Amino acid sequence: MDSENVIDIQNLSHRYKTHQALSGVSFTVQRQSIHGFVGPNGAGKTTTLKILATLLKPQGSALAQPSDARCTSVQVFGQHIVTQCNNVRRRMGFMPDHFSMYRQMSVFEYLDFFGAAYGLGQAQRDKIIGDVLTLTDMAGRRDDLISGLSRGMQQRVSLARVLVHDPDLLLLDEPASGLDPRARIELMEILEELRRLGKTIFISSHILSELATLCDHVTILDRGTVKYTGSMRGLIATSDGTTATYQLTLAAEHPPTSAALAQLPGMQSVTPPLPNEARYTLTFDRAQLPLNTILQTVLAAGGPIVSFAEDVKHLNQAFMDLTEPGVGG
Amino acid sequence: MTSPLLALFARSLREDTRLKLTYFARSGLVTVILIFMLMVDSSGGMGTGQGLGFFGTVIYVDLVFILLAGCGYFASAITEEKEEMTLGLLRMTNLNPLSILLGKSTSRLCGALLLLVAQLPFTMLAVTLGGISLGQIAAAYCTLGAFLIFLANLALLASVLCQRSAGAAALTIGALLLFFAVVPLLNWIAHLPAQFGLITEDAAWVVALEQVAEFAWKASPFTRISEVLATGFNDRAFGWQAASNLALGAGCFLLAWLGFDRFCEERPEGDPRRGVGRRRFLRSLRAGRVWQRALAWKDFYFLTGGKVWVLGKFLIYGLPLVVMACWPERLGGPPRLEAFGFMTMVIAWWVLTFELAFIAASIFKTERQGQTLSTLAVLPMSLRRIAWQKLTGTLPTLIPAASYFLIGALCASKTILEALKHFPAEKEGFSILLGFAYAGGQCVVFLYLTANLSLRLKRGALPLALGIQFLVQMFVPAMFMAMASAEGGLVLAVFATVVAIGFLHHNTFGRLEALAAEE
Repeated sequence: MDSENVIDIQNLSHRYKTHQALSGVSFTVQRQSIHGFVGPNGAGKTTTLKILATLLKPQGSALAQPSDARCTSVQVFGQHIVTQCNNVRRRMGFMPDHFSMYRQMSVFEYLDFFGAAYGLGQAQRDKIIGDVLTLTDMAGRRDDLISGLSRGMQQRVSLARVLVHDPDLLLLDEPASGLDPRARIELMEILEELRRLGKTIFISSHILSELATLCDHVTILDRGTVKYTGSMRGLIATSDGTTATYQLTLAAEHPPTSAALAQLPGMQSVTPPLPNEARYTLTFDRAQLPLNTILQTVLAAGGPIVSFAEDVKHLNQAFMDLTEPGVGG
Repeated sequence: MTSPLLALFARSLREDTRLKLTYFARSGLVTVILIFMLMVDSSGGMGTGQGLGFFGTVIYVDLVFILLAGCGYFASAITEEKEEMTLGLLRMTNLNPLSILLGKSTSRLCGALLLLVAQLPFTMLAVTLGGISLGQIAAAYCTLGAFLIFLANLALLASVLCQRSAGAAALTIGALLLFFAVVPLLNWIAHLPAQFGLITEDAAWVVALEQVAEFAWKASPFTRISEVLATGFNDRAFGWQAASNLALGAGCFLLAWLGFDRFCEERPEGDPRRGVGRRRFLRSLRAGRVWQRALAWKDFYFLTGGKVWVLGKFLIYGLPLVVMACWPERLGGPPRLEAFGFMTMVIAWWVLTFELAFIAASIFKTERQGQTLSTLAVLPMSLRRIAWQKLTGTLPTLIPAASYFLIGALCASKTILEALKHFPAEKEGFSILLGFAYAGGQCVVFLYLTANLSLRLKRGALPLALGIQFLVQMFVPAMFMAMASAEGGLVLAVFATVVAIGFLHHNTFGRLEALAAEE
């Protein structure tokens, strides 16, 4: 197995009585990456996460080697999740899509409990609980009862619980669902920080644009089959070929800049901004026109740049193109 | 049926009609009745009085199930909404307290009454077996129906007053004990001052208390059933017991309605630091830090109440024993040491049984309710080890009752040692040991069954396990005895018990794994 891969799933299928939840799912997750796992409701995301978290046993010959393409293989850190499940569990933290908490405990008691359950000594627990409370910005709430915390704070405590045994891999099942925009942004910031600390994060969501700025890689699942797995950039390339769309925001409307941009070879269109809004939509051939050329042109024309970012709407379009309409059965 | 008042009631009835469980329960009840009939038929043919025996058995089994349903099924009517924090949502709709009470409890009562009606055609067959008349059957069902209505509404009242289903069940049991124990208790209280020579026996309030005791005696379904099943009964079907029980039921319903707003209002989301100061004393009694066996720590403090509750139990259980030991000479004096020891052992044994049953019913149920099984199942240990750790955390709560049991055994040690000295050898002794093994095994089966049912049912696992165990004890030992000799039957019964334990063990852990994955 490639040591860069933390998760390696080959040909995974899962069936619930009359419903085929997963059919031949294969993908890998690279070390120290944030890997988005996206799909509409009922796509099979939670089933895959539960199998990775060792809550569900993979069906079929799950003990095969990953090299055997015909057989099911699910490996985490190169270890079989069935035969070496305790080793896998020690190195992995799973956050389910619901609040799974002891509401009558205080924040500290809750984290201390899970630290001890993972076999950490008292001194080790004290240190790590202090660290994770600081990381999740909950240090001031350590003696509060969980039942009295807001949803966003409970989500932070859940994340702190997942981190308390210092796992290398985090499996997060729709961690941002039900959070207000501010709490979502703060959660994403914490995840960025965790990546910097060397964690591998596998995060599911049914909204691709939510993960667009966060993830390096993404796997799109629909009705139990993988529709796309690879880099975020590759996803856009898949959907539009070589065409890219970016949003350029200036401090004020600047006609010389738009004129200069329209002259560039490979530039397909420069959409004029809306009244009172100096935001241009640039569509161009990615192979023919590098991003730095565009930026140099704007600066040369004296355009007061505020921001320059890829159009997120395209991710949503890619998602719509890859997935089928209706709810997956 | 579309008025807001009956909307919830109609919906509950519709749901019950669609549930397979409703039909299984009715079929199960009828099957039990047919088994009773088969037993009567095989034991003594169609002789005179067989119908009375058969009908009496059915009615007492019904009475036991009504009592169990009162503590489990009816007592959770409103508390389950409080526990799931959905009562506020119900109250936000057009439903007023009366419609919620009708929808949540009266629909259950209708379902239970229909269970009684379903068995009526089959129990009518008792008339053909002889010894009982249609009038007696009608009177017996009136008695059961009225008591069911009283108990359902008593449990509803408890459910309105309490925040938790366990509390509501305990309050219902307490009220029932008071109801059934009120006769001897009031009589005893009424005559206590007279025994001390403070007043005469014909004092006005003594007479008044005696009359209350008389009322309670006549209102008891047990009293009425024994009257109905007596030979030569020719009273009306609808007697004083039915009238008084219906009146009590209506009173309880009225109280539940009146108290609904006060006791079922949504609790505001408070300051998360609430209770920190108030509970500082209690927390100081806590160990503070989590033990290395974390799951044991959690269940010791958060399921069984921790050190405070262990100390409390020492006092609560010890109090009646102190009263018994210090009983005044004028009232007959304290019991002899040996008798005191045996009484203590019996009381402590019942307390231990009750506590173990509570642990079995709640040890996994709380995890299931809190949806915390999935977080426990991903710990780097097997579910069996998790369960074992949790169990070890609950065992210290048994220390008070176990200590009193040992104290009782010490007080009665002379008789116990004497009995052990004369323990029969060889065949008879082996049979006694088999009997003990069977009894112990059945206790384990009961605990496993309770834990298993708590993973399958939303409510009433403990009463249902009690009911199943009650039926099993009625049929299974007799069946094995009929299949082989007395000793052979016992061996078969012990073997079946071991198989049942194995099956329940495997099935319970399978269910736990499935639930953890379902969350």
